[in-house]
Amino acid sequence: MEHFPFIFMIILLPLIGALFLSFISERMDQSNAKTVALWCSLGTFLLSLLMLLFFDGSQGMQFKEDKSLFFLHGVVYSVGVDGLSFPFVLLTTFLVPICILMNWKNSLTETRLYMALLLFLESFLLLAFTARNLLMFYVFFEAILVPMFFLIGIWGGPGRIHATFKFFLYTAAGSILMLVGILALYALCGSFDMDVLVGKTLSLGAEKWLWWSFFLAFAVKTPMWPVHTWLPSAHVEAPTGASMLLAGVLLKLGGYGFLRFMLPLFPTASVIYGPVVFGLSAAALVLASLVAFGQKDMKRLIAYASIAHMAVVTFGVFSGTEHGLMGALFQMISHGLTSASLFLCVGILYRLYGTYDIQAYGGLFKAMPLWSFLFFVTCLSAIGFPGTSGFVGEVLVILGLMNNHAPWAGVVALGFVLSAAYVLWLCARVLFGKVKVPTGRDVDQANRFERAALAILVVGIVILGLRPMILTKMMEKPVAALVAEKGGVDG
Amino acid sequence: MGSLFAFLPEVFIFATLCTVLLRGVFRGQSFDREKAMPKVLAYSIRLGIGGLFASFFWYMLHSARFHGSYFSGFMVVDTPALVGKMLVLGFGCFWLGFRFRFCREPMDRLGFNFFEYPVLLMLSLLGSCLMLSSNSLLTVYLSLEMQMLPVCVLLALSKKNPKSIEASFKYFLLSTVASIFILYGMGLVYGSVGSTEFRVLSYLTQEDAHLWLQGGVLFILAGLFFKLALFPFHAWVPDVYEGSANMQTAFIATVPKITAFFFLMRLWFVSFGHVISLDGLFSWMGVASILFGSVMAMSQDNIRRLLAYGSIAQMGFVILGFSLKSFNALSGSLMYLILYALGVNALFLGLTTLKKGEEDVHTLHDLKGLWSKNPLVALSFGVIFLSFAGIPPFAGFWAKFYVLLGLVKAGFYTQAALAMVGSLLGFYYYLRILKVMFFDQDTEGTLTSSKHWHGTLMGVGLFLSLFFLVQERLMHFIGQVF
Repeated sequence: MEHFPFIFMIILLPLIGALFLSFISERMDQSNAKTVALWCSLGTFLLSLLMLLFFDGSQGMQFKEDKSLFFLHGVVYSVGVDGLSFPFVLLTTFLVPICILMNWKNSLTETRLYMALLLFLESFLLLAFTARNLLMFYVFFEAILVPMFFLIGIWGGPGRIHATFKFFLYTAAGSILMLVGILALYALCGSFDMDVLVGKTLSLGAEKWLWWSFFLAFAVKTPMWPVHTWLPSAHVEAPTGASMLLAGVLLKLGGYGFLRFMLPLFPTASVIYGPVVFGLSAAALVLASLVAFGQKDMKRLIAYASIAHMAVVTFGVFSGTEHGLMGALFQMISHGLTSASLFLCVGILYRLYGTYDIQAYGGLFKAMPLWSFLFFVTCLSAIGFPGTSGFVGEVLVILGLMNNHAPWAGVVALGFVLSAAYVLWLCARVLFGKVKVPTGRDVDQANRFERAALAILVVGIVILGLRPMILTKMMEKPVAALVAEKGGVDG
Repeated sequence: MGSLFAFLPEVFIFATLCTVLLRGVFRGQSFDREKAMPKVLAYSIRLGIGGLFASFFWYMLHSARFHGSYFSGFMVVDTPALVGKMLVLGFGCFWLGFRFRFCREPMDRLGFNFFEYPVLLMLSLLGSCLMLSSNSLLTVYLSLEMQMLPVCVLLALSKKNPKSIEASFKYFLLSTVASIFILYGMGLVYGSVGSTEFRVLSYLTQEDAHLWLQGGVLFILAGLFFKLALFPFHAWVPDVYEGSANMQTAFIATVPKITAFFFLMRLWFVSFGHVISLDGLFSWMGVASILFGSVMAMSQDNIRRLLAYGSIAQMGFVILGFSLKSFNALSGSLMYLILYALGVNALFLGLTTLKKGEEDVHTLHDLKGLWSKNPLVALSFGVIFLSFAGIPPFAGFWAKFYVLLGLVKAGFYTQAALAMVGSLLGFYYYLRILKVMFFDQDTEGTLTSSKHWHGTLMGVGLFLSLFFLVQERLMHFIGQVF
């Protein structure tokens, strides 16, 4: 069973669904399109669960596939999962059905295209996460911008044109130099294949330049301060499903890139520039949290919270310790679930009441009890409350930083406090007090499907919070390998 | 007689065009011009397509047999020549076929109702084929003129459109100046070397490179860069592209560039590459073209002007492949050129099917809401533009990838980085077109689109999307050309 091409299937299934929806289903109505999409994505998810059964945490790359369709420059279809990428694969295949499920009862214009774009996005994401070949990763790293561009541009809010152009051009600007870097790496080492590249050593000068070219791409994606400004507008204007995927998975590509490509390929430069990353992360954490305080728009607040949470990730990645790396990985998965859930909550409010304005809401605990409960648990995870998944990641990162970088650990701890401040303040205003909904609307409830989607996400958050071992067991080996290579960051 | 067999396609084309010309002249005179036109046109076009198809397939079947030089060294038949001719003739079949489809409709406003159209087209293609087969500077010049002059008349066929007349005149005047430069350069080269044949020129070494020779080469290059629409020699491109009718623009965007490319390749790799070192010139010119074209394209409203500036940028990429002495990079350039030609033709083809009220589609805003009117066309356009922009996984990305790979391998990091910056600018204006097509609504409701050519458009779109599956094989194939 191990030789069954699982990865090929999980990539192919959404692609088939997307192509079917784009070209063949001309006279299909909305619910049929959603059914097709849901079955495809559920099938993908089940396949990835099957993969989980066969996954052996004690080995490296598994389910490897190398289809040599291409001969000349080593551009092979070369995929595989290990403890680093498998959590992301699971996250992607888990989130996409939820994004489709939450739209079940809603009426969307051009549903076919929406679902098709979501499935294309899923396929490209999976290809990017499972790529073992640098060029292949880059191709799909860029390719995901196209479906997202359309998703935000067609179904987004009032400022969507500006937001989607900003998103695309900003992210593309970061990545263009990465292409030059990849080509330079090929010129120096002769291959695009990660297995080959990891074994080579580079001169320090070359390594430094290449580190920066890669760093820029991933820093814009993560996003790090000061190249984060695309995120708030993109998030605010995107439709709910796209926001969930954007925050839940696309941002993780940046962190994944750091872990998978930058640390193994450029260990020395990562050590040298570690303090730079710490500085930028600290700026992101503190500044984003403070800006989140001043937001009147719920979605913007959550967007800035995302920036702050991803700052914890970059702290962990460059900490050079097992705890730090494990924390970064866990935080990425947890943040995936948490922000997807947050955006879903806010999206439900928007569908019911038509605005994201915080001041328009109040006392929702009395008006919408179930929604409020789920929202509150998610907020706890955003704070990093013990018992939810948000806690595990942040604590591990602090532990990881304590050995060599105690002051930075203090900054992350400060991040804990700041996130508690703005999240609890949001909760207080929206959930408690007198019942208040935007003028002209009646108190309403989320429909079954939205509630189901939300509940699934929250259950996931809690399970991960109470038993993080499920994930960490998978991650141990590759994380240890990464640390061994680096030899730890010195002071 | 053996020589003529090798050039049977050219003979074929010439015979066809003479037949069409004579028939048109005689039939046209004895009948009322208006009534007789469609029939004459239909006949002539059938003949024309037949001739071209025959040539095309003849080439594909018999190519290897006739390699060698002919006419005492003035002409040659080898793989690059054959590949170039196949490209040019393939596109020629397509253009004539396009005319055939529209034959039944009254299109004298665009000048297509004249029997001269296929004649001129075939004459220009004849010139192109001869240029591709040329083995000496003199024959290159003669066939260059033969290629250029009919095009000028072609552009002016739309007699009632003042912009077309302007475009034709500009193209004629400026092309002639470029040809003069080329001729002068050739004269200088002849003066210093004593022969115009490429074979003889390839025996030159570095010691022979004195001032006259270098000056001559520079003059030739100046004229060539004009044809290729590169940076300092680009001034004619926007006006000519804007004024011409859609398919003429496609013609001048494709054929002169292909022939100029192959001429440059022969000039550089066969003759002067080891004599004069101009790597820096090519690479910086390429970068300048890319940046200039992209910057100017960002502010354009007129679709044709935007595509014109875009093509300046694309040609910048093509010329970048010349800046390295490797055949790999050259293959990348050729692939880029072919993909560009394919995309441009499909694009203009699509544009002919769109009408804004009674007029052609001119500005970007005329394209608003294409997605809701005609999803297939919008989708194909989207794919083509994304390919032009160089966004993975579409074909244009792979072409850029190979060119950049060559640059980086040769150590030209700055140029590579700047080329990518130009690419980024390209993202902006190509995405703007996508935005107008997909995100905006057609508020005036006058955009109409006909059902023609959907298959072709979709086919091109599909090819560009699935290109990544075949790209290695194609590169291999193209590499064997050289």
